[in-house]
Amino acid sequence: MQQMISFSVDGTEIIDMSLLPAAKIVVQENSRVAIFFNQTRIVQQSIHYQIDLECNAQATLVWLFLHSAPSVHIKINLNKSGAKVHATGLYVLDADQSVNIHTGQYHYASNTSSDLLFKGVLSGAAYANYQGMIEINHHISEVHAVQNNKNIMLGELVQVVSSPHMQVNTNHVRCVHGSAIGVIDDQQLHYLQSRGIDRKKSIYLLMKSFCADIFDMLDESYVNRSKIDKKIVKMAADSA
Amino acid sequence: MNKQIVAEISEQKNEPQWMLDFRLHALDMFEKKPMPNWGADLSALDVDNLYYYLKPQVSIQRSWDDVPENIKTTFQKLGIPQAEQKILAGVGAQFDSEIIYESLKEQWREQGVIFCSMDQAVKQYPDLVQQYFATVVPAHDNKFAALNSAAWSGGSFVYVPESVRINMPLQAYFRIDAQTFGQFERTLIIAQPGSFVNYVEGCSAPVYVRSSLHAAVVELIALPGSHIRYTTIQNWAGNVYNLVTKRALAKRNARVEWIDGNFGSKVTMKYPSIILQEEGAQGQIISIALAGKGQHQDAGAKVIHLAPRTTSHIIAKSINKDGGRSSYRGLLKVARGAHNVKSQMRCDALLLDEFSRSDAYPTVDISEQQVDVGHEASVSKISDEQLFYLRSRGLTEQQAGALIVNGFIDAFVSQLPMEYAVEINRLIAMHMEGSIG
Repeated sequence: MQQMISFSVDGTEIIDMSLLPAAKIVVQENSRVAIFFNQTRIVQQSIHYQIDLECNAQATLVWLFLHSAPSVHIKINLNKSGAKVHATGLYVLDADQSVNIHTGQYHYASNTSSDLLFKGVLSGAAYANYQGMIEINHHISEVHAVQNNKNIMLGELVQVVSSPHMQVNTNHVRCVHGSAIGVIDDQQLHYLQSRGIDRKKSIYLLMKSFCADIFDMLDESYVNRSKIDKKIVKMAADSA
Repeated sequence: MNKQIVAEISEQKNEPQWMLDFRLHALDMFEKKPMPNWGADLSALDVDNLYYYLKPQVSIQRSWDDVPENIKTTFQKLGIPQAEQKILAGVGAQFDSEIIYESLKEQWREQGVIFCSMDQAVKQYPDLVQQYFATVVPAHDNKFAALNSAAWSGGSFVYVPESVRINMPLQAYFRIDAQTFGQFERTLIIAQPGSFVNYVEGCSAPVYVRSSLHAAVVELIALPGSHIRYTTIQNWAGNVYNLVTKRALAKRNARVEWIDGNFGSKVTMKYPSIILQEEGAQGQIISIALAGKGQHQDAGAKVIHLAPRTTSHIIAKSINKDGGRSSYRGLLKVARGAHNVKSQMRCDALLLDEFSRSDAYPTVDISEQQVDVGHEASVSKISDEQLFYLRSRGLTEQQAGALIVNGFIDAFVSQLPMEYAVEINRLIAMHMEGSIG
């Protein structure tokens, strides 16, 4: 594993991590941070992040994968009371691209909340492996933890493996996880087509709406949305 | 546990050569396979000392006085008749109300249904047994399946002829030659095309046994258009390692249902599986686990979709209290070419105190595009709002808690035959005493 750069955030910051594949970030007391990772090329080495949240720290995390990423590890430690994290990720893969994503939400203190959503759009012979873990420590309370992985498959040779795991050691918690894997809804497609929108465009619209909650998180000044858009247009055209 | 003992078991039972070969081969597998390095903690289980438990159980005659007091009290609370209590405690040798079922058995015989012990089946229906035995769970499947294959004894053999529907649940109790609770039971159910059978095993009362390992193998074969429902209620005593391999094969348009309740034992590792092998097959697994003090219920479900237009539905519930631990470990696999598959999986856990633990380890592996697959899980305690609502209607906290728990497990209880449902409700109420409020 490559050298982990570690630094801490105090105050309010927006950090673009796209060129820094391994880092340990400590979000100090009462600080707020938004972290983006926008994959610009195929990453051969592993991507490794550890984010530690201290008292009342809040973090918003967004990951985007448009290329293969053989090993992605994201570890979120909610160390102190009041820590809150909102994490989202999107992988848009075609041809023989693949991702292996491991996420961990570790709750070590009471009054902590984590909400994680990873979405994927796959076509061609793409492969996605999502392994998630929520761990809630003994003797803490008022914990809210959510973990979701949703995938849309557009190609016949696509493979998705999704393992959202959790270990809950106490009872004053609300802990939910889920995974969904499916195709574009025929009825929705039919509806759009019946309104005069061609098939290609309909698939594009539905895929775009599927990704909408992640797009909403993206700040145009940090992430070039048109690149993702172009890829989705192409994938919709290929599968139509 | 060695070749000599296995050969002795086989000789005592007067088995054909092929079965002896099968046992010896399985023993070889058992010795070669490592202990599972995942799941529940099995370090306290001494596999080298298993020979002790292989001694024929009939020779260990016990008296009613030997049965621990807490087990007797539980029998009383569940309202189980005296005769039945003795069987469950391993004291009685025969189920006294056997005669009542004689007429039923006559009816089944006329329809061509075979329902006997596995040992008897090997002697009386060797061709049938040889054709299907170990075709779903081979000896090399896992260490404990191998152990069972080498040392099996007891269990049921059920054969339902084409288009015969048995409306009355078949219960392991009914068998006159009942070696009711074997340590290495081997059950095989074959449902011919268009038939239906509901098999019920176990009971809600605690089963008191001296041996500490129960390693059963259950195989179901649902031929085209048939329907098998297999209901298990397990309440082993708190010293038992319950390591069971259960698997079903569903052919075209067949339906298999596992209804699985785990209440007792020290450690349970049980993952009922369904292989949906041909088009239109359906599978359903409904399970419940209750983990109390010192218990680890590592239960789950496995569904493998190998053919188009197959559907599956999994509901897993667990209740954890007094530091008990339950885990859901599941696999849902859709193979390439199995298009238009629909599958829903839901697992919920209820934690009644802060010392208990609940885990979920589901895996969803999809290699086909035209599918609709969803998995959802949640862990929580009894919600304060629900408790408050019921208490505002005049229920005590205890009553309200029990009502909410009953609602939580309703998906399971509503699938049981009536007399079982009543007992399960009582059992839950008993476990809940003092744990809510």
